[in-house]
Amino acid sequence: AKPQRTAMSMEEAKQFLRAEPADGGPSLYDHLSQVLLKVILERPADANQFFEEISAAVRTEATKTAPPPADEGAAEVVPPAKEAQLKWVDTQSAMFVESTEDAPEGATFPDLYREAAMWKWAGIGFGDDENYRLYLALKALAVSKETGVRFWGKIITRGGDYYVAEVKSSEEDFAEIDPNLMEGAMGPNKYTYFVTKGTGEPWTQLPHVTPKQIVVARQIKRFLTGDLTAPVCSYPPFPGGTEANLLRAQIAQITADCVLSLKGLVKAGEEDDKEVVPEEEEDAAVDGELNELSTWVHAEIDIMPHGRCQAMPEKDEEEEGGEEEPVEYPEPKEPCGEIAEDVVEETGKALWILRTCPGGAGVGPKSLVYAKSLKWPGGGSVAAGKKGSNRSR
Amino acid sequence: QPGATRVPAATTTMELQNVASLGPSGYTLSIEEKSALQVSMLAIQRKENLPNKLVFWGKIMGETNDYLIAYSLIPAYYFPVKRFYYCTTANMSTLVQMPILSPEWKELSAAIKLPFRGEPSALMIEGAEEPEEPEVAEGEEPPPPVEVFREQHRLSYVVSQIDHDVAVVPRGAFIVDAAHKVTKNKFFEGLSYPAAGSLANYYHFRAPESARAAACLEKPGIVRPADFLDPIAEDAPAGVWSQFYDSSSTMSLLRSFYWPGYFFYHVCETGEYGGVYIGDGLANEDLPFML
Repeated sequence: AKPQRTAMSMEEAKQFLRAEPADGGPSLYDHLSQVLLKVILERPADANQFFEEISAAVRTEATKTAPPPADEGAAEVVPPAKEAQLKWVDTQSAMFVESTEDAPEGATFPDLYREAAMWKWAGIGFGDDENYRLYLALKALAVSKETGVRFWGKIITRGGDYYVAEVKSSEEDFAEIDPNLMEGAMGPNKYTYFVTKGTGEPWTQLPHVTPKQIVVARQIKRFLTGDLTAPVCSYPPFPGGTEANLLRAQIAQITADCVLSLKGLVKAGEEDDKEVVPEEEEDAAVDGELNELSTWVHAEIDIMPHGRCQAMPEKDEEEEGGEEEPVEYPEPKEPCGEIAEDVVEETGKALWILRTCPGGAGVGPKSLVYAKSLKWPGGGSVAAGKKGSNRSR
Repeated sequence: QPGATRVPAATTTMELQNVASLGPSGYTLSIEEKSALQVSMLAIQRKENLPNKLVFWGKIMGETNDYLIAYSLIPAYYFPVKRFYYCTTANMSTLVQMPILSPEWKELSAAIKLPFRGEPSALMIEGAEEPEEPEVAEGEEPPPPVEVFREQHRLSYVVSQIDHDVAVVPRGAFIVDAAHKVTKNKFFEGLSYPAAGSLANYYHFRAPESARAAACLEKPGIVRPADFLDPIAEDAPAGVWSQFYDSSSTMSLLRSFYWPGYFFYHVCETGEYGGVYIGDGLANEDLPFML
């Protein structure tokens, strides 16, 4: 039978609403008054439309209680966000501490905050704050290694990104190594690279690269996982197996293809080995307009299909026994080649695009030009007048 | 005891002022682009009387020029619709609405795998010619121009595909209100730090396609925020989405590897989030081999 509905007086109605539910929570009267109070205090624009959400918000606030005080002697439970953020704060604050000693001579580092303004025109940037911390990190690396450091760029992985810094390799590193297996400082190992997962984290040196690794790296296509020790499972199998080697091989290729300079600022070296050297100070002048492809030239030696920059060293006849057929290797490309000559073989389409910024209505004599690589997405070079900056992402 | 007065969370979906939050992606907009977009986005909103302001969607790189794309959310019965506008970097002060496509042109667009040229009026079919100007008698109106398949149509298709595949919102950012309409949640407080680390808390912002979510949206009554959208955790192959925290551990970041260039950020425990696509508009079809 239907429950009888008798008319309630005002008092009875109020008492009904104030009845506490069995589980000890607030009564409907209390809940409604809290909801109305919230609406009056916060004055949302369309309270009626969001009434259910406001009511739900009040409920979740009510059920949030303060965490019970920790028992004596028990370890304090730290919320994971707090722990991670404090750790970051510690590493970053360490970078801001002024060093008591002068920077050693030979420790050069880029003016990242000035270069950042140039890259911003190319649409590349990390945000001003992060940029400054990156500058501090690069400076710390330069000071600790007592050598010049260049910011190479950033590589995206599946688990966080690597920042990469470039340092010139020293000849002693290669004294012990067989030149048939790995080229030294005249080849892809001209530079040594350091990577870090974040500013303030320690820089890890990447191993030197062998020609075989470059050849296989060109054939496989894999994402980096973000862990330098991860194995690279691929077909064809990658020689010397970890992600650190694969990363180094990719960096070598990108550097060879994308680091540019302007015609007139660099010239081919005069030794037998292929080399690119800067022009003398007096003679250095940009030859050509910035917004023409022919003015931009490669500043690093090209890596040939078999993974080397220079020709193979002469085989020692006695060691080999003189029985092997000499293998034909292709001729190395001339150094300082114009980027206008980089084309896709089949279609002849150019691999570089030049853009002027500001362009359109804002173009002016101080406009910079940036060259964007189509082969390596993210690789590029910005120039204004004589000053240039290379970056890879 | 009522809670402390709380200001409704200001949710942002890629306002131009928040371009700084894109820092971890490595990309940014140049001053020229930001300043021109500010003008053109406001112009479109007011000239077309749009209910919501325009929001920056992303950038598709082309050879001669890049495309800058923005959209405005139009409330609609089943699910809000995004109306897209684009401009090229050669002419950033005027945004143009993206054209509507016939099914035939959608198929043609899907088949093109080359990079974008950057010219919206470029003819996309090989051997096609510009239609001839028809003869117009004196005093008569010229007939409307014949539509030919151009790069702007391909752009429209690609943008809608990318948006369908990767536009992400965190759980609770959009809700179904009492009138059974999908709206932005003004009281969105954000995901907590541990919750932001799980892909299960992010959803596609599109009309639901999984049977379960579509059914939830259609049934009457209260719909919970987690129920009516497709979760991204169910996207195949596993690994197409990568989630990680930024170095300061205050933001959660998502990247898509099927459309490399899509980047999503969410500042934990606040209502701030945004996603942009900055890339060449080509899907990564090699994805299963690269994981």
